[in-house]
Amino acid sequence: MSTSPAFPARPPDPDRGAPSWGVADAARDARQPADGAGNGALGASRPPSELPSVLHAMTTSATSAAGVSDDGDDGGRGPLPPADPDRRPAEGYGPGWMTDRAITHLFSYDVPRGVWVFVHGVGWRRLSPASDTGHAHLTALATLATHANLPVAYHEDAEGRIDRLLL
Amino acid sequence: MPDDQGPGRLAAVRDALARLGEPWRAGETSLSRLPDEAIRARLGVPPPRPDQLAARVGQPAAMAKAAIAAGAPRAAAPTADSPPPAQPRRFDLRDVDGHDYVTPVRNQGRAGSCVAFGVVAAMESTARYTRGAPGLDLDLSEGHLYFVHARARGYRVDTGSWPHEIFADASDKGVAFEECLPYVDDGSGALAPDWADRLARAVDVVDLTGSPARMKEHIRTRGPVTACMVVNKDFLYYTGGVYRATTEEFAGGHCVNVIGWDDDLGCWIGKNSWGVEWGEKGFFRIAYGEAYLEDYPDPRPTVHGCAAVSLRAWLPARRALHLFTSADDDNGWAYLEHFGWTRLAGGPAATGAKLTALAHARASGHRVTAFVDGTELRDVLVHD
Repeated sequence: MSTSPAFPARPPDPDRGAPSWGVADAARDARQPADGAGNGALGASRPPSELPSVLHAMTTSATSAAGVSDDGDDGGRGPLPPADPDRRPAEGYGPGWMTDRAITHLFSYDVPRGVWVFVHGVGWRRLSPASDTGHAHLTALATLATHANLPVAYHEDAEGRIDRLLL
Repeated sequence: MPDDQGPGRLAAVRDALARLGEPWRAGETSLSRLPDEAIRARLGVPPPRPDQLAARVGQPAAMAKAAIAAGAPRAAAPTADSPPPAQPRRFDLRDVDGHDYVTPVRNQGRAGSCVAFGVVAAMESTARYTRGAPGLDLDLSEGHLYFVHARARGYRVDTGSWPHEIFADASDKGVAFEECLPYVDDGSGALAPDWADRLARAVDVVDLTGSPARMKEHIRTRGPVTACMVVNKDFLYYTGGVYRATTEEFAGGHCVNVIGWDDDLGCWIGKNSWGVEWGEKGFFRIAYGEAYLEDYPDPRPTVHGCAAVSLRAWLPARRALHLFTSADDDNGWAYLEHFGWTRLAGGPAATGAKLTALAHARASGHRVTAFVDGTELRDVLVHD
């Protein structure tokens, strides 16, 4: 497990009419998701460990019917999984926040912390593998977003991986 | 001004206002018909001595000038020593982007507990405002603060108290929820045995005495400030407008909340604890510098606010409106309706379990009952 920073990334204020509460950091005046203090270093990579099998099954089944291109409209069939999941996205990635997006597909492959999500209008993005539990938590929320068709805001790190997720 | 209450005194106030061009309105109020003894009982800040008042002769004008200057644009780039940034010309916590963050006006009754009411009012509204949760239904016990904490300091109903001490108690010991000790102005009643699990604490109490600019900055970014003021007898008749003293007839020392300001009218917007039958439905406007509001004539600090309010309690059932997590090991948050963000406690595994339960609630719309402690959500029950 990695060690969490003293003040890990805190959530942005989703409907923003006033400052968020007064703990030490506080992206208080953000009307859009913004970097809070202490958001910088995520936990270092750790020795591989397996994702929970049920999680793997859920994510795999969600993408099993996928069958078209990896970066755009799928003609109703769903996108193909990322062609080379070990590579970073080809273009147009972070760091920064994206808001009001839909996650339409999930992809999990045979490496630890290897879940990707397909963001409508954006393409495939990997969930940050910085920590086991962090990756599992991101996956849980991504799964909910897909299942319940809930819009999300997310933050991409410098590698184009989603390291914060709000829904 | 006549010594008696009622029509004679009211007429004198109105005559004085007429001579000054009617800057504010006077009428009979919930206070104006009370005998002097009952009025003194409600003025719970020890009064200044005449020499302390005499030493502050130039203060009102200086404070009024500083308050207006707080709204002026800054010429140079800010530095660590810079004054707070320029403030808007008008700000009112009752209407911030259409949201009201001020809790209802209350009535302290016949007790010198105004300081407790001032501190509690600041905490309740700060809890709402800093969470961005105008619907947070937080009602704290002024009785706990005054009849338990202040009494432990030796204060009695008729002695009054000082806000820096009461705020310190609100920070160190905490204030129970109102239902743990409902306020009765004679101090009767007993504290509920489980009060420690229905508790609020003021966080990072700051002294803002003598700085209108910092008062404004605090109100705009954190919430109301608690301030002491010198009350003259005409103030008892206030029913609206921007108050300026028309008499030097002194009534006592008092503690109120400041919830906003209006530079165009040159005034603070205040919230009193004399019920809604006084003033502008319990609120008032008072000219900058008036009544020594920014710096009461005493060596003690008399203007305070708190940066946040920490709660330890089971929250009534409500929806989980948003969830947040990150790639960090242990970093899940839930945004609860009328409450705001709370971090999921208990380590990585417990965070995952709570996140799963809350995800179900988020998707289904089922309500959750949560026990929060400070910034953390300790326990959660999802209702079917």
